[in-house]
Amino acid sequence: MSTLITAEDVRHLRTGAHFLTCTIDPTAIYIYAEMIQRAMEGRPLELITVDELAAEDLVVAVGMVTQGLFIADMPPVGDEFLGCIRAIEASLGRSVRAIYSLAAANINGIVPLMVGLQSSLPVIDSDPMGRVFPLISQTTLNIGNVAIGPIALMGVTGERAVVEVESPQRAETLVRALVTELGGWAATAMYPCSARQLKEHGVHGSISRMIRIGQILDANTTVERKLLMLTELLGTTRIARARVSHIESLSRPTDLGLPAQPSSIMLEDESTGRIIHLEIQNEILLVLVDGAVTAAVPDMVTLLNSEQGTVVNIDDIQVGDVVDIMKIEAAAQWYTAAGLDLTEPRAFGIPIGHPRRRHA
Amino acid sequence: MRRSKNETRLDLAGLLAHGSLRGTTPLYLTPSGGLVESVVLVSQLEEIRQVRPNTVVVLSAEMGSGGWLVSAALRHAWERRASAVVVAGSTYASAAVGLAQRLGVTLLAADGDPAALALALAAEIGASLSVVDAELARVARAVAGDTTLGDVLKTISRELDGIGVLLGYDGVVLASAGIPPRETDEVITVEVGDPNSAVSFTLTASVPASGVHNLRLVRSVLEIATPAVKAAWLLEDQLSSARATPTAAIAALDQDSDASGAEFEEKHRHLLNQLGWREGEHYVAVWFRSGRAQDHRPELTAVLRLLWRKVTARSPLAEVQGGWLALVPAEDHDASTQLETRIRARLGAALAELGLVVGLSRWQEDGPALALIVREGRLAAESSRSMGPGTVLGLANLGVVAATSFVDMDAVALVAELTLPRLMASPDRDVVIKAVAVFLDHGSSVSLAAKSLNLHRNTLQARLNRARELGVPLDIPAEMLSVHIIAKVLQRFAQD
Repeated sequence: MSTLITAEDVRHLRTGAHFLTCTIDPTAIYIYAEMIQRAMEGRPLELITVDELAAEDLVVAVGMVTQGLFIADMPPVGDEFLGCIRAIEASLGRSVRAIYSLAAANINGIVPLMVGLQSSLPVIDSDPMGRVFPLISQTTLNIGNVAIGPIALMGVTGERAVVEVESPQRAETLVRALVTELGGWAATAMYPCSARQLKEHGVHGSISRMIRIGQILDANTTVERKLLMLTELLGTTRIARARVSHIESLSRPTDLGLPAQPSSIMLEDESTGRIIHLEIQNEILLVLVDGAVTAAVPDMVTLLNSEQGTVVNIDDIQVGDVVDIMKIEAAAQWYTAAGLDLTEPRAFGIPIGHPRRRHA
Repeated sequence: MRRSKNETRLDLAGLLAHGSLRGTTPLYLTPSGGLVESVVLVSQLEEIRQVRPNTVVVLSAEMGSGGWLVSAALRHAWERRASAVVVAGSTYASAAVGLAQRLGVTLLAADGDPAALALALAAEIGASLSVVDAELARVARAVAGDTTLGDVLKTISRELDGIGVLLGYDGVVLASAGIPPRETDEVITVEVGDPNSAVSFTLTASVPASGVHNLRLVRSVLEIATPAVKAAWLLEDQLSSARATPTAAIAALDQDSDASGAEFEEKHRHLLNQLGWREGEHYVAVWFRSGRAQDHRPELTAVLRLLWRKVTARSPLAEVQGGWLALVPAEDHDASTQLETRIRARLGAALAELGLVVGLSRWQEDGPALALIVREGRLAAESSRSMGPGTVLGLANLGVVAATSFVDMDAVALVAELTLPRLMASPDRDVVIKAVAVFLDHGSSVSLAAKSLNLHRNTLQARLNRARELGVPLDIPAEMLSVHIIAKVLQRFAQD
């Protein structure tokens, strides 16, 4: 059943998209949310479920791919995504019927709404990550052997490329190189597939979940009440409420071409004395409590301000801050052997298996 | 070992002060120092999960040096009770100092290549172990010179500063040396003997909890001494078998139960002389047998011989058909009584554990023939079976009561089932049987039996009448013995 998105929903979506990726500078999310809210004045924005499409309808994922440059530093002209969709249609000789998010958090959780408004295409309440990962190959569609290509990219200068590639790993390399040449970020359209394939291999309810998370976090209620509601909605667990004791950037060597530098944060749970270690690269990859793995990617870990219940940016953290460390389980596909192969800490250069793999 | 057992131990304090860890920077040191028994150079975090306690865990340089790695390594090291974690010198490790302190694991930073440090430490541990090897070789030489089990155990105990050492079988102490064990002792046990053999002994050392002994070294000493224990035991068993030949021969010759003692001596005079038995000498026969019928276990011979030494070392124990026999010289009646008391005191518990009973012949002034006292011993052993494992019974204390030991209780119970069905089916059966048994025990006197049972005589009379109603023939003198036996057997079953 399709839903009409309101300006209020966009505000909550912004908060939800930020909650699920607490580590990223949220400026771009805020800029996009504002653009969408302005563009929506007098224009409806339709959110549909994948079931509302015909099985063979062509759908495509839209999202930003960045390589070291914040989008806020060089804002888009505005036609980049439309250019990408046209390039995909030209390449496949078919019309795109709907679009979906490349990721269910951060800027790519909100970008499709803008693209939907611009293109008048419906936005599907599904995505191929159920969260956000730094690599375009880290998708449930990849687990399901859905082709990543052709991939269309368009940068701020209006230059456009279509990459015809089969291997998702190879696509990663080519896209990263092109993005650097296109100016540090590019609008992309990828994983063109049928609605049936998306239904079968995607993660569903992504956008509505972010809106619901935003509604909880934006509500005028106590932090404890918010945590309780998040637990009910997402099965969230609070690992600890702890005070930051040490921050370290460049905390370990990296050679994987991952688009961020590693860093780590040490915290101390003052009620129990437990020492907590967060290992970060783009996002929180690993949580060690007294050295024992308590959460590891693909689990989502986010930080909330212990007093206000608002999402904490990793970049803003200072020694002495007290935060709630929250763990959220990712989509079930990620805990299969193929899912863990793509996303457990080893995939990020940390030679440690996900705790669930031992029990698999 | 004249030196204390902790001299060969390496600890972190020593290694940091003047050993191979001297060049490391201590990021955190546990107050207790810590024993070091091995070193492991790991290249995968998971490898730490396999290390033994008291190991120094060195993280190889290629593992990287991230703070998360140090934290996770400390955690694994703590779970495995490792002595210390050594990481490549790095500022990243400083963040984990708090965790090292919290977990109580020493954290060291290596300035150079961690692999070189691990090699140097391994060499130091190896050198320390070679000192241990030299000590073990000396122990092996010392015990190799001992020929008796007692001497071997004494040597082991002496080498371990006098700690308690014992040889056991199935919970029974066969021989021991050194300080008696205390409850707080750390017990180290090694198996002695072929695992396929029916009898397997254990050699156990009880190490005081004072902590001066290296438990691994104590175990090594026991293992080194095991062949000597086995050799001494086999030698003693072989010698005992040879010495027991005359005793075994007596039991084997005594097959003709109709022959009198005098006839036996006359018939075998020449052989008895040759075997070394002197005429007119007084002996007491001691017969061991299983507490259950038809359950002779020849494999217990070696165990029993070791136990028998606690009673007397001079009279050998022979394995004979249906049990084990020893003929012990006894000059007078007192010596015979003392023998019985000694067996009960020193072997009673062990015999109960092994499910064995013992019977002794009577001491008689006229010094009866050996064949007769052997029969008496066997008879006493047979009789003592009904009193349960561990019983030590002299025929002198038994008299004619011995006859009842040969009653087949199951057969008597079956007779009762067939001939007294109403009694057997009666709900007040046990009360009636008890009344009948006590009545007959007191020579059919209602007054005496009632007094013994603490009942009014009319009550007892009523119960006896009830027995008559249920078909018990209490008034036919010729059947009185059978009724008495049945009542006693049924009473025993009721008690069981």
